[in-house]
Amino acid sequence: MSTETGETETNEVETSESSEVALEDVFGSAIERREDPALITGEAEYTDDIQRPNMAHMAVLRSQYGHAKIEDIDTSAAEAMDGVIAVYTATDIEEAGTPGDLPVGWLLPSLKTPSHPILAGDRVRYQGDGVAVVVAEERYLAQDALDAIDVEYDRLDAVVDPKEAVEDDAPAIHEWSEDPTDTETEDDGEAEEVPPNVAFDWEIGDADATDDAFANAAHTVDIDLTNQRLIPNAMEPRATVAEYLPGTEELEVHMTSQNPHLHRQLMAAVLDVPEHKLHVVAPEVGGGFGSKIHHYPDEALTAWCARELERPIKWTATRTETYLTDAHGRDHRTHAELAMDEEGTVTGMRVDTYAGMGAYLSTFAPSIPTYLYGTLLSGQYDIPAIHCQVTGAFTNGAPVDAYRGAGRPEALYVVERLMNLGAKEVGMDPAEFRRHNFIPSDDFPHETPVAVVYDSGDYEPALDKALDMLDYDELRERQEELREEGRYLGIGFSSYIEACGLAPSELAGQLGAQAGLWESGVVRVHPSGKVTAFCGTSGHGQGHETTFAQIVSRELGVPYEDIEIVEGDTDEIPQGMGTYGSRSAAVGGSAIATSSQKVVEKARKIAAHQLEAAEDDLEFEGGEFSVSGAPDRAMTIQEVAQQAYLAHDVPDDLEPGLEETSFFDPENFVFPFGTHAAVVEVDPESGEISFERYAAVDDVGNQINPKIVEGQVHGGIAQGVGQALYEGAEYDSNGSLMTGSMQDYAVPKAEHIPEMDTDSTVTPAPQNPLGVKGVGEAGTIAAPQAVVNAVCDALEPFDVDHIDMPITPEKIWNAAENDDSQEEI
Amino acid sequence: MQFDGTFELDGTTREEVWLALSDPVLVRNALPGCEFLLEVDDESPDFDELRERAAETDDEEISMDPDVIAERSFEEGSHYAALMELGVGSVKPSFETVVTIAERDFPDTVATGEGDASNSSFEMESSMHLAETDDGVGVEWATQADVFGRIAQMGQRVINPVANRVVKRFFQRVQSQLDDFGAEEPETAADASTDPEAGLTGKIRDRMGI
Amino acid sequence: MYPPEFDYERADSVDHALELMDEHAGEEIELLAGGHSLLPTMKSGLASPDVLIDIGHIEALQGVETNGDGFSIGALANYADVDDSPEVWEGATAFADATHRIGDVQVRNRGTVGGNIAHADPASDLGGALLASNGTVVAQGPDGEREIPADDFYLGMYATALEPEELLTRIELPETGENDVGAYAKKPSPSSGYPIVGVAAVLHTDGEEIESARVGANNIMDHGVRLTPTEEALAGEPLEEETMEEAAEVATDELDDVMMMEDLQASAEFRAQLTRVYTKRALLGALDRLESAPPAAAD
Repeated sequence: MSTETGETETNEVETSESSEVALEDVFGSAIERREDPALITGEAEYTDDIQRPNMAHMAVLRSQYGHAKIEDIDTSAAEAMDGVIAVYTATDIEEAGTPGDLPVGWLLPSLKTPSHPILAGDRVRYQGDGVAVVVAEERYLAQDALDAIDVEYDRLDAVVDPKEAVEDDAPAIHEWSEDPTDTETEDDGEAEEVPPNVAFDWEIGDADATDDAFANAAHTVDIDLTNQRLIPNAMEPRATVAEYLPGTEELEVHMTSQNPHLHRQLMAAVLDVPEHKLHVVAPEVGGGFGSKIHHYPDEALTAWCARELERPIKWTATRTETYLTDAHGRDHRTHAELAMDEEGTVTGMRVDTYAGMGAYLSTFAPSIPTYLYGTLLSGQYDIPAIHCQVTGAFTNGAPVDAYRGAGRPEALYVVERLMNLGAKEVGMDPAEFRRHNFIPSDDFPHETPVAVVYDSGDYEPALDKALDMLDYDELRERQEELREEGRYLGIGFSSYIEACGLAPSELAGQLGAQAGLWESGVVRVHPSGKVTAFCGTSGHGQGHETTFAQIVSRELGVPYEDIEIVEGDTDEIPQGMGTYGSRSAAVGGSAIATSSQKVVEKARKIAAHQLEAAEDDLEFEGGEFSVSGAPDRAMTIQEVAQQAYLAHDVPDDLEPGLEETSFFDPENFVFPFGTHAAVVEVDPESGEISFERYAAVDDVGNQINPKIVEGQVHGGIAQGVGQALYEGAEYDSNGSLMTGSMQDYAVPKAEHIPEMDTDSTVTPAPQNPLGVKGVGEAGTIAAPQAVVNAVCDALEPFDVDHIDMPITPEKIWNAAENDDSQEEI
Repeated sequence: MQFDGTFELDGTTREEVWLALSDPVLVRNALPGCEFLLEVDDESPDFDELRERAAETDDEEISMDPDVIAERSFEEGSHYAALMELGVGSVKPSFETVVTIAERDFPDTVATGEGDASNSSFEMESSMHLAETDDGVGVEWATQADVFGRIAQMGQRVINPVANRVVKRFFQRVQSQLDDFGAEEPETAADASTDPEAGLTGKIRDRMGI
Repeated sequence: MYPPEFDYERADSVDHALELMDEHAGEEIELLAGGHSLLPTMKSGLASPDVLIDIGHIEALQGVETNGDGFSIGALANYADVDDSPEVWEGATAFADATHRIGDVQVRNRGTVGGNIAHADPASDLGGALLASNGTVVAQGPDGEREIPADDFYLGMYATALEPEELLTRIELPETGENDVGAYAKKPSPSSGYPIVGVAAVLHTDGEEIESARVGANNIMDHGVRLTPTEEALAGEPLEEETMEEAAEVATDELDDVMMMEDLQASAEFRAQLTRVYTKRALLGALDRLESAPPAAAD
C-alpha cells in the first residue's frame, strides 16, 4: 500500500535544544524532549527491568474457553514440581479473607455491577479469564507449571456480538441475585424483566423533540455502523513487581500504571491493605493509550502473592496475554439518523447504540459509551434536537474500557458519517454542508442538546485552512478528470470537536464517577534556587518532564535546565488522578502553574520585605523582582529562595520555605476541535488504497511545545488510520480470539501511515491558567471518519454508501464488484 | 467450523466398507497421527494409564474376517480413547481424545468427540453415510468442529486444511487396506455384487447385525 | 515467550548433521537454520520438538555461487545474500526479486533460503519463484545426493518431497538468457508481511515474442503452484501489454477453488482476484524490465 505523496511539502516542526532558547521563549518552544536520550539508549528502567533479591515469578493460568463452568481445579501436579513455590486459586484468596473483587469506578443509574473476582471461581467468562496463579523460582518454570494444572471445564455457549448478547435467549453471562441493593429496580419498585446480558440502559437528549424533528423533516438519512473492537498494543506489555516488607507491613508495588494513586486506592480496597501502607510506583512506562489505567486482576494477584509468601514477586505479560486481557476499545453497533430541512440545515439526530462491555466491567467502562460519547453527538454543529440511546451489553470477550479517545472517536465517527450522507442526500458539497451547519462563532457559549456547553469555538478557520492545504477546488476538478480515466480519487472530511481535560469534579460526581477528577501539583524551590515540581499526572511517553518544566520555567522565570519534574510515585506526590483523557496539561499543568503562581506570590512578599518596598511596587520579570523605577534594587528568585530557607529575615506572618501545593479542579471540560481531510486513491480491481494527502488542522489552545503537539497529532492519526484500514479484534462464536497476535492483528507499520500535513489554529481555553486544551487523543478522534469518508467518496461512481472499518482491500473490491452500475471490473 | 465431503472408495461394497470402518484396529492404523485407540468405560479416562496399557498391548493384526471384527467392533454408546497427533509441519500437538459412538445404524454412523492438548482443545461431531456408487462406495462425511485455545488463536492459516488432510489420508489408507483385501480374495468380492445374501456380503451382514 | 524444554545439538558438517538426524531418529527432530519459522512456533508453545539440530553454522551450506549454467545458492544463504548479488539479479531475476520482498531488512539478513524452501509455508515468497525459475532442490541423505526439480518438490502444506532423513543442501537455478526476463509481484499482508498472494513470472523470449513462460504463485493454494493457463496464454504471443493482461485473466482458471486458501486475511474468492491482479502486475513488471534493458542484438 503506497503512502507516497509525491512532491507534497510537509511542514514538520523543527526542534531546538533547550540551551538555544531564551528564557522568555521557553513556553511555546519546540524544545527537544529531555526524556528521550535515556529512553532510546536503554538506560530507562521499566517494570520488567526491576530486579529484587530473592525475587520469584508469577504466571497466570488463563481460560482457553470464552465461556465455561469450572468443575474442578487440580493443582497437585503443578505444586509438586521442583522450583514451584505455590499455586493459588480463588479458594485460597477467599480462605485468606481477601475481598478480591475489582470495583467499578463509574456508576450509572441502571448499571448492573456483577462481581469481578481477581481469580475466577466457578465460571470463566472470557478467553483469558484468570483461573489460577503459579509462583515459581524462575519464570520459565512458572510457565511450565501452568501446563501441569488440570482444570475440568464444562463448556457453555458464548455470545460475542453486543447486539446479539442482549437478546432474550442469549447465553447469560452473569447471574443476578434478588438482592434489594442491586441497582436495577424500576421506579415503580418492580424489577423489570431485562435480558440477562444488559449491563445498562442509558439515554441523553430529548426524545420527543427529536421525534418531532424527524416527523417534519424534508430529508432524512440513516446508517448502520460498527465501531470495531480494538486491541491497545502499547509497546510495553503490562507488568508488576510487588514486595512486602514484613517489618513495616508495607506493600510496595512497581507497575505499568497511568495513574499510580488510583491503583493504590483501588488495590487497597481489593486486598484489604491500609492505603497508607501501600506504595505504588510507575517506573518508566512504555505507552498505555488507556490500557494501563484500569485495575486488573494481575497486579492485585502479584501483590497478594508477595504478601502471602513474603518474597518479591514479578509478573510480566506476554504479548498474547495483553491481547487477551488488556481492556479492548470501542465495540459499538449503531443505528443513526439525521433529519434536515429543505436548505440542508440539520434539524435532528437520533442514535441507537449497543456497546459491548466484555465479560466484566472494567474500571471506567460504563462512562465511555455514555457520558464520553452521547455528549459529543452535536459535533461542531448547531443541531436543535438530539436523542441518543445506549444499551450496554455483557459479552464473552475481554472487558472493554478507555482506549485513546474513549467514547469520543465513536461519537464523532457517527456524526461525521451522518454529515457526509446528509450532504450527499441534499446534493451539497460535504465541506459546504458542514460549514452551513457549524455553530456560528458568535454563538458561544453554546449549549448543546446533549448536556454539554461549548465555552468557545471558531470552526470555519480550521475548515478553511484544511481546504486551502488541499487546494480543494482544483482537487475536485482533478477528481472529475481522473474518473473519466477510470481512476478513483476520494476526499474525506472530518470536522471534530471533543471534550477532554477530565474533568470538573462536581460534574463528574453527578454523572456517576466514583472519584474527583481534579489534579495536584507541588512546586518546591530548593535553597539553591533549583526547582522540583511534582504532579499527580503520570506520563508514559507524553513528554511531561519536558513540558511541565517549560510551564514552571515561564511561571517562575527559572531556567528550564534548573527544573526537575517528578511523577508516578504515591510516596512522593500528593494524591493525583493520573494521565488519560488528554488531561495532563490542562489539569495537571494548571495545578503546577497555580502552585508556581503561589510561589511567586510568596516570593514577592519576601522580596518586598527584603527590598523594603511595597509588594505592588515590585516588578517580576525574567525571574527577578525589581523595584519599579529603581531597577538596581532587585532580587532574583534564587536569592529569594535562599532567604526563604535561611528565614533570618522574612515577614513575621510568613512561614519559612518556598514550596506550594495546589489541587486544580477545572470548571469545565476543554474542547479541542479541528478539521482533518484525507485524500485517497482507490483501485477497485485490487481494493488497494493509497494516500495522496492527509491534512490536519487542530485547535488545541495554547501549545506548550509544538513538536510534542505535532507528535501527538501524528500518533493519534496513526491509530485512527489503523482503525480505519487495518485493525480489528475478532472473536469466533465460541469466544476464541482469532486475532491473537500481531501475525493476524494488523498494527499499522510506518509504511502504512500517510505523510501528514499538520497545522493549527489557536483559541486559548478560557477555563485554565495556561489556556491549553488537550491534544493526545485528537488525531484518533478525527482520523477514522476522514479516511472512511474519503474512501466512500472515491467509490461514489459505484454507488457505495458505506463500508465498515477496517476497510480492507477485500471489502472495497466487494463493494465495487456488487455495484450494478459497472459492467466489469 | 464445518467440513464435509465425499470420498470415493473403489472396487468395494458398502458392507465391506462398513466392516472395515467397524474395526478399531483398522481405523487406528488408518488414522494419521493416531498413537493408540482403546475402548474405555467412561468419558474421562486416565490417559497415563492408557499410555501404559497401549505400550504393553501387542499390536493386533488387521483382518477383514467378520468373525474377528465382530468381537472387537465399535458399538453404539461405547467410548473410545485415542492419542491423536494433529497438525501440520512443526505444529503437531498431541490431543488426548475421547470419542463416543452416538449412533451406529447401517449405513450411518454419528460420533462425538473431544480432544485436549496442553493449551488447546477441540470438540467435534461427525457423521458418515455410505452410499452405493457405480464404482464402489461413496462415503459422505461431515464434521462440525470447534477449536479452542492457542491453536485457535495462532493456527488461523493452519486449521482449515488440517481436517481435510486428515480425512483424505484416512480414507486413502482405508482404500489401500480394502485394495489389499480385494487382492487376496478376488472371488468373494465379485460374488458380493451378484447376490447380496451369499458369500462375504452375507457373512458381514450376519456378523455385524445389519 | 516460553518454549518447552528441548535438547540442542550443533552440527559442524553435512555428514555430522545426517549422523545426528539418524541418532535421534526416534524423537521429534527439528532442524534449526535461521529460526524465523521454527522459533516463533516454539515460543508460542505450538511446536515442541525433543531436539533441535542446529545446522546454521555449516560452512559448506553458505554462499551464492555462479557456476557454468546458473547459480548455486547454499541452503544457509540469507535472503540478503541473494538480494545483494548482481549476478542473480541479472540471471535469475524473479528469484532475486522475490528475496528482495521478503519481510524487512532484519528478516532478510537472518532468514535462510534453504530454511524457507524446506519449511514450505504455503505463503512463502520463494514457492512461486522457485517454480517460475525452474529451480532444482538438492538434498543430501544417507544414500547420497539427490536432485529434485521444483515441479516435483512442493507437495502440500508444509509438505515437500524431502525425506525425513534428508537435508536440503542447495538450490540450483538456471541462468536465464539475454532476452529472458523475470519479475515477482506481491500483495503483503499488513499484519504478517507474508504475501496474501505472490506471483513470480519468468518469460523466455526472442526479443519480440514470448517463446515460453513459467508463472508460479504462492499462497493461493496450500503450496506453490504453476499457473499453467497463463503460461499457455503467453506462449507464442507478442511482447505487449495486451498479451500480459489477457494472460493474467486466466491465471486462476485451473485451480480447484474448493482447495483455495482462505483465512482471516482474505477469502478464497478475493485471493483468486488478487492472483489475477498480481499475475498482471508481475507480467507487466517483467515487460517493463525488458523494455528498459539494453536492446538485444538485432536478428
